[in-house]
Amino acid sequence: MNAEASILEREGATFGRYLGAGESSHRALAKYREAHELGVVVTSAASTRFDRALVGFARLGTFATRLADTHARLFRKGGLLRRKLVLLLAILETHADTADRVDAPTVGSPAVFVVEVAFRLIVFAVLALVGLVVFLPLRVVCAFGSAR
Amino acid sequence: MSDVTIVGSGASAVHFAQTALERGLSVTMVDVGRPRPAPVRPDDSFAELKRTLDDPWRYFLGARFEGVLFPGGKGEYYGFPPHKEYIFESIEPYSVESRGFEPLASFARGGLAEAWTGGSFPFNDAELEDFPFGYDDIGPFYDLVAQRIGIVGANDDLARFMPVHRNLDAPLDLDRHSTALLERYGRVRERMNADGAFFGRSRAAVLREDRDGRKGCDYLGRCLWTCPRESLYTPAMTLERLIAKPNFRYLDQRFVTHFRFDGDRRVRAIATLDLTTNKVEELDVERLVLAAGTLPTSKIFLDSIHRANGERPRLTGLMDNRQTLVPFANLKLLGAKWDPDTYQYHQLAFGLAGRTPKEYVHALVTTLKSALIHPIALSAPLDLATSLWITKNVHGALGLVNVNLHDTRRAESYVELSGDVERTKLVARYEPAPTELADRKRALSRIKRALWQLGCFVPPGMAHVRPMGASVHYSGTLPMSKTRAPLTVDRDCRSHDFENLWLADGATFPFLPAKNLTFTLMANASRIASRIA
Ligand SMILES: Cc1cc2nc3c(=O)[nH]c(=O)nc-3n(C[C@H](O)[C@H](O)[C@H](O)COP(=O)(O)OP(=O)(O)OC[C@H]3O[C@@H](n4cnc5c(N)ncnc54)[C@H](O)[C@@H]3O)c2cc1C
Ligand code: SF4
Repeated sequence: MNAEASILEREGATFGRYLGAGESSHRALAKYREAHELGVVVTSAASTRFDRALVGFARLGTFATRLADTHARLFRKGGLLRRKLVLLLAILETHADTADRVDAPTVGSPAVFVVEVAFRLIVFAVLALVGLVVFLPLRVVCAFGSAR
Repeated sequence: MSDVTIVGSGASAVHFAQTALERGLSVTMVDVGRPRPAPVRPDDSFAELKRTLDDPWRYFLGARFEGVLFPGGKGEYYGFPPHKEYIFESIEPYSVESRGFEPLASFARGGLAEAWTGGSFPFNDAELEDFPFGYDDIGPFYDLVAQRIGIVGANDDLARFMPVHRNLDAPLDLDRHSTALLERYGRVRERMNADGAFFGRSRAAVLREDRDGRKGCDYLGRCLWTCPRESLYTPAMTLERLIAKPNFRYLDQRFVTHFRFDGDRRVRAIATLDLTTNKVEELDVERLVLAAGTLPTSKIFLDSIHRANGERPRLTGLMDNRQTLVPFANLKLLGAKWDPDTYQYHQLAFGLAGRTPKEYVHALVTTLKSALIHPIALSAPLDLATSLWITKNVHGALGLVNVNLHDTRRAESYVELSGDVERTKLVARYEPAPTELADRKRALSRIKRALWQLGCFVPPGMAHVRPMGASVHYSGTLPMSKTRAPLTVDRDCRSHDFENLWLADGATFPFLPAKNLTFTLMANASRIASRIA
């Protein structure tokens, strides 16, 4: 496997854990790589310098992925990171090994659901603020870099 | 030469053909007729396929991942199966330019209804008011088509809007969410009814029990992915059975460009382009029946006139149902498990009484069962992990209402030709009725109120108004008319312009009720075939 392919598989494994699917199978990761090789993920509009930087940051680990994705959802929702995550989710939900992990309920009652949603929304809001602090300078640097 | 030559193999064409054959006529069917792929592992459920297929990704997402709905992509709340794309594949000689309208056409064996959701609702007398016949005339043909294809439904509160025809089979078993909705309706019924809102079982062309070589529904949850048991009816099933009949000839891979007529305006022949050899051939006809779908039929009709004398008439009155998709969550079912082995499409419906019976609003309710969820997860305004967590925990509580409004023929909505005679384009223009926006808002707020009474919540900003053309209920361009006039047909859908030409699809409808029209297309095609001899 060449270096780029192994980066993609490691990236897929990190993103799979971020999505709550645990460890993704080799075949799922190979599919993830195949989609990249077919050119369906990276488009010019979705792949600015900032998009690539965001993906690089997201590869650092699941917390970094969450932070980068939160920012991407607000400011780059059609960007490269979101495209990669959605692709991986589609791959994970269509194989029995991971389908249940991404699509079976985990809370038992409406009350637990409401409490947990409230907590998750607070986390989202906090990460959105942290993301502004972290990624706005990066954005400026990327914009400055591409202007040159 | 056959007694009758029919263009198309969709819902309209096959039921015309079947009735004509039953009346002793010989039939030639000329069709583009793209074949459908063979069903995959017909006994496995949607969930099982993810385990039993060697490469489930190829099946669910396509060889080039075309089934993945990327952010900002053109898609709605569900992923469309890649193996169904052949149904909408365009072909080179058919070209449409449109404004205010996103037209679809099908060149598949069986036509657009190879992708339909089976909703089968008879029109009532009020809705037939502008037609030159009433329910008494078409009723026996609803009975006949129901017997042929199998329709399930119930004589319940919605019967006030939809006549209960013969051969209506008992409905399928309900999924858990639909059961909860119907039980709740029992408790709030009076309040809802006082508001003109009624609720009950939808009607669908699906078999409960084995019949005529088709198998009864086994709750595989693959309806959107093409029912492998042939429980959910599609016209290709009728076509397959017609092909086995002695007086029937099926010529596929032929694109009909136009018909040729003589000085007495009698159709003599059709010109077909053989898509395998690219050769143009003529086929003599005795009686010609156009059933190629409203837009392709209109194009053949216009091209025939244009080629003969250079005229380019405008066919006014193009209609389609405006649809709004309203997602909802049932508050009591948040966090509940969902059952994957259930019928996937709508099992329930709302009927909203209009100010007049013709303004009835028709809304189909589909609870979410087996489905791809990434299109739903990506639509929430949150990071994907949080959206996914919410989606999986609300999956069993989610549903979608498809709200349909009626439409009327208006001069501003029309089709006509443009371009050079050898390469014409169909130009389709659609202008919504001046009252549409207000009607749509009123219907939406009534549906939201009704859902709330059923214990369901509509997330703000999530209702999606589908573009005109998306409902694919095109009609009205060459309408039935009680009086003889150019560019119209008579009560039997025989052209007022050409004595041996019949139109057997939606082009002839003078009014489009909110109810899905295909059951009426099939019944009407059978009705006119019974009178053609
Ligand atoms: C996703 C979806 C869901 C739907 N759900 C419902 C529903 O629940 N209920 C409902 O009532 N309706 C539904 N519909 C609408 C329904 O499918 C159509 O109303 C119906 O299929 C129209 O049938 P038709 O025979 O008139 O035309 P078509 O289905 O368009 O058939 C046209 C036929 O003509 C052939 N043809 C076209 N042009 C030429 C040519 N020039 N030469 C030779 N052959 C030609 C094609 O190959 C095809 O066989 C749905 C549609 C879609 C897309
Ligand atoms: S649930 Fe749908 S796919 Fe399964 S058998 Fe019934 S109609 Fe066919």
